Amino acid sequence: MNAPEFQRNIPADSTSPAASDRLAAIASGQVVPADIHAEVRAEDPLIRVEKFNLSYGAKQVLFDVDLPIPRGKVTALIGPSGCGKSTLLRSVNRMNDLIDTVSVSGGIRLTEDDVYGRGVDVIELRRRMGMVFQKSNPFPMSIRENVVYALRINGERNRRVLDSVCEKALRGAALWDEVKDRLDESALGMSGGQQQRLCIARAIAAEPEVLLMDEPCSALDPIATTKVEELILHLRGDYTVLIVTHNMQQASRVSDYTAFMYLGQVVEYGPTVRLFTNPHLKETEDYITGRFG
Amino acid sequence: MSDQQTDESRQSYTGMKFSRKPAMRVLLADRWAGRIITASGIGGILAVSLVGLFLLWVALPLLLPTHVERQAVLPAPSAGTSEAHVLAQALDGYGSMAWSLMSDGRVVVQEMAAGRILEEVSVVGQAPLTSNSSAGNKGVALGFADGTVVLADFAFKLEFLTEADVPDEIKALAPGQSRPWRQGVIARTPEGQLRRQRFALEAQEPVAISDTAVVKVDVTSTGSGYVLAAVDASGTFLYRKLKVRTNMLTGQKHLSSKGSSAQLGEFGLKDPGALAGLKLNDTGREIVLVSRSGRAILLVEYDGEMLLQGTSSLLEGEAVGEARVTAVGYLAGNVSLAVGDSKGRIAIWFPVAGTDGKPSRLVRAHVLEPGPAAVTALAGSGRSRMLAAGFADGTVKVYNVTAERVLGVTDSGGGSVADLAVAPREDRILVGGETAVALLALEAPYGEVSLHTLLGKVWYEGYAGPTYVWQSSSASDSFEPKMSLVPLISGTLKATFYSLLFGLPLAILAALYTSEFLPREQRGRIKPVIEIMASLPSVVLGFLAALVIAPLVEQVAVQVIAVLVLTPACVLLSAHLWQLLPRETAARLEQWRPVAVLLSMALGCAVSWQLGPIFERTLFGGDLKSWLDGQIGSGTPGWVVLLLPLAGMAVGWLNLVYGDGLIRGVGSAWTHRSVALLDLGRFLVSALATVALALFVGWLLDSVGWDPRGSVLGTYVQRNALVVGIAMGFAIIPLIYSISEDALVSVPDHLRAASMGAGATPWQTAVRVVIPPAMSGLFSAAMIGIGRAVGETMIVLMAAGNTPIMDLNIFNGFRTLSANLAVELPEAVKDSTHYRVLFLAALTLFAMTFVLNTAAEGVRLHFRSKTKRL
Repeated sequence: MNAPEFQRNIPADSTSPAASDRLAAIASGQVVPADIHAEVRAEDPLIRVEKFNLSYGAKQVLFDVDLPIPRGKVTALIGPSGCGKSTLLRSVNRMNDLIDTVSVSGGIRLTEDDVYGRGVDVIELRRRMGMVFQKSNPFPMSIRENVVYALRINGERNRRVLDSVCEKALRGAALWDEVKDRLDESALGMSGGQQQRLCIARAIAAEPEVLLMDEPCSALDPIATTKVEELILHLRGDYTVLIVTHNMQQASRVSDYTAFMYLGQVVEYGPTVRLFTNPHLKETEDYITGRFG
Repeated sequence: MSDQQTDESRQSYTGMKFSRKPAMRVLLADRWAGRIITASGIGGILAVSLVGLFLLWVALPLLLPTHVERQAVLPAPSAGTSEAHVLAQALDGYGSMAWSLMSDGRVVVQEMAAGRILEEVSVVGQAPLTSNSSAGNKGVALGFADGTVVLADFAFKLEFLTEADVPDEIKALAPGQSRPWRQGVIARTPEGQLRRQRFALEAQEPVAISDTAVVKVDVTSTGSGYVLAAVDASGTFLYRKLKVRTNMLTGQKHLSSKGSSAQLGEFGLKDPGALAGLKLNDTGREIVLVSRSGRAILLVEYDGEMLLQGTSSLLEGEAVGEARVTAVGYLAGNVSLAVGDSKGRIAIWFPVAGTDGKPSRLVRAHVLEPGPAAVTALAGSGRSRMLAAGFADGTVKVYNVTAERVLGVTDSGGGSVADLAVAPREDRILVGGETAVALLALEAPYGEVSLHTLLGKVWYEGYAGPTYVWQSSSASDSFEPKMSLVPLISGTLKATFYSLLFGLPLAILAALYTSEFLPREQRGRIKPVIEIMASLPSVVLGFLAALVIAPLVEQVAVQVIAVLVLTPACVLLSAHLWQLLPRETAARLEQWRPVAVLLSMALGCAVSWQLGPIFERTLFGGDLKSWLDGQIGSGTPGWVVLLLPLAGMAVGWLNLVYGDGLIRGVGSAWTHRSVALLDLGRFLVSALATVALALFVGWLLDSVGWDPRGSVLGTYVQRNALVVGIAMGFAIIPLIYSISEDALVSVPDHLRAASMGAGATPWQTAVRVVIPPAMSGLFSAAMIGIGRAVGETMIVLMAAGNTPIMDLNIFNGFRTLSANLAVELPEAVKDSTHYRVLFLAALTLFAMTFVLNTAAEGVRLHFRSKTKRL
């Protein structure tokens, strides 16, 4: 792999020599194998990211990423800004295709299907995954139409089906009681937290196999954040959730597994409790304790 | 910081010190910038409103009230001498003198300042005067008791005198002043010249046409002499053509006459005394006889014989038997007949050519507002459709006939009106009353224009019925101007409609394609190219349309229509065939898809080209133009062509409701290929159903007797709405494209991401998520396109044929408001009615674009408020 030149920004006060060695190696463009805990390996993976590389034009942002995502669990991706966690998330449902200059190698498998395989139907693929974005993005339509959007584009017209899905999804997103009396009002009139939960409801209304969340709480106030976090905990078990977050506390609160990424590579990946209390690597500890990042 | 208060003690990090107070320079610049911006803003608004105000300023006099008022009451020419009354009168061009033909055979010339009699000339021959024609520009015919007729020219002669010719009291005249002098009136013109005007009577030798008294007579001059129509006391109708021969030696003129006679009894009239009027038209070949009981007899001369064209009853309804025709007069041009009755009602009649070989008949085209007493005199103006009517109680009413408008009413103060004369400049009216002569001042320069004539149906002279017509000028002076703005407005709307029909879908779909389906970098290349199209001067587009597109489309009209129908069908077909490709192959060939679309479009054009002649043979009887003329074939094929898009939409909708469910129903059970085959089959069935539906509805409409020819389709003209639609479409596409593309691109990407993330296709994303918030922008784009199309001049001027015809026919030309301005404004006489009506047309255009833009802004804001929180 020809690693292009990177802007390296090794923190000056990087602590242990071992830690800085590994990070420095990553920074210098070497591919350093990730430390993946045995517990992760033991799980049944729904998504397998295998030797995945991604470049925006000449700039490579993901290097040989290997990441099994366990079925029915919440997996968090953490790491400093620009480490490629959002890119990785968007690679899973090929949202990066919307950017013209993207090129990939390696693979991502959803169950047995190759996401980047030839002749794969991207539309069908995306219908198997729900996505929640950093900025809440309700459509300029009524709350009801927002929730049932995925069914609508699939051609569903039966009013009863739509209503029941709408209610279930809104209940699932803990929003039903707040909006049940104004389902036909514009979604744009809701508060920021409500809008984000509406987006989650919209994502789960399509019964996806995976829920991809890209920093879902970064634009929310603490109360709304709490509600969304409770929601994620509530969804655990039914859904496989892959969440990107900047907020380490959030990762520790909501996730079962956490992967720490740095400059396009996974550094350590293990059960959240282990990673936050007793990580294998010094680098992980440094990052989690806030010594760099 | 605690040490902020003291500047000295404060630390400066940069080593610079800045004043906390803004510098004077900044304040001044700020203030001046504010003022300049305010002033230029107000200036901009002012400039726009000034344009509107200027147009209004020029057009407004058209709608200002008109009036007639009595300027002077002068002693009657007969005062004190006899009971003679006025038979005919005329006023000179300056309103300074007038002649009156009296019933005792005198012609009395009066000056108009005090009514002094300047001159008296007698025209009495061997016998008393018994009849006369009205004073017009063709001379006056005088009929006498001995059966002779004298043709006389009553005129005012002008001469300019030198100072040496006149006495001192005349020399003292200031410019503008005038005074009677030696049987005439002398005036000093504003240029200082001395202008003398006097009456001149030039009579021909008497022509004997009968043995008994001539009771009615009328004359007209033709190229070779005069034509005379008369009725004598014995009830004989006399028609004579007079030739003038001038003796080369003596200079004497000699009249030779020949002609025919007929008994009034042949036309159902017995008593010559019951005749109210006899009128001869300008050609000298049509005569109208009007009886007091309201019967009108239309005679036409053919090969020296008088043929009865028809009779009409001029007094209709309840008045027959009670009312009597009391006055008959011609309007300018001597075609329209004004008929006044004893109840004060006035109607305008003129002959309308019969259709299918039927003789022409008189129709009552206008009914004017009645007066208070019996109509006693009617006089048309020599230069417009103005009619002055005098009533038995001395009232004078002035009308404009075209506009059916009363220009003014006044009491002449001279008792029952015997005769009227409108001055040549239409600024005065001379009223010969029983007891006095009144001079009325008339102020109605734009009498022929009213809201009704501008926007309503008007029955113009010679037309079969009321219509909207724009015909502002003609070769003859006595022509009736037809100034309906409706054909121009409809032409403007027609141009706009057809160019939008062509340009709007293309432009908006193109914008949708580049913004939603093309990679960003390609979009960046395409947009400027399309925008360059906007800089193509419209005159270039215009001559391309007129000299290249129009002749080409004329040759291959069927092919062009076929292209419009078959190309989309071909693209759809190839899309369905594309689905048949295995998934992997399709994914691999994805980047070639636009090429495939282009190829299928080219294929559609080629197929249309090949099939065009076959269509022409099978559908349009081998010749589209004859078919359009309605000469051959039935209306069904036309309906099919018109209904195909509608039928396509209907079938497409049915497909959406039922067909999609079918495809989804088989869903996962079938292989990709069989689903694609099923879809292809569905498409083919839908296409057949579309044609069948169009055919069936077309046949149904045709069998009901409704033929599209004559409304949306019709006679083919080379410069037509289709050509303009194509050319102007090209002009508005870049405009609409550019604005709609901006609107679509400005929809935030996170909405697209959300939709794509939910598994929507790019098309679903575009339709459901991108278009609704961009609607305000798309709407603005369409409105700006409409604004451009409404105001566009050069393209329509060159390619629309400029025929102010009002119809929907896509194959016919039209004239728009803007093209009309470009064509006619350079020729319009400044401050004439025509000139001002053109300004009114400009104002209408201004108002149309203003209303369109305002409505567009309103709708845009409405859409905007729905999505502004995005």
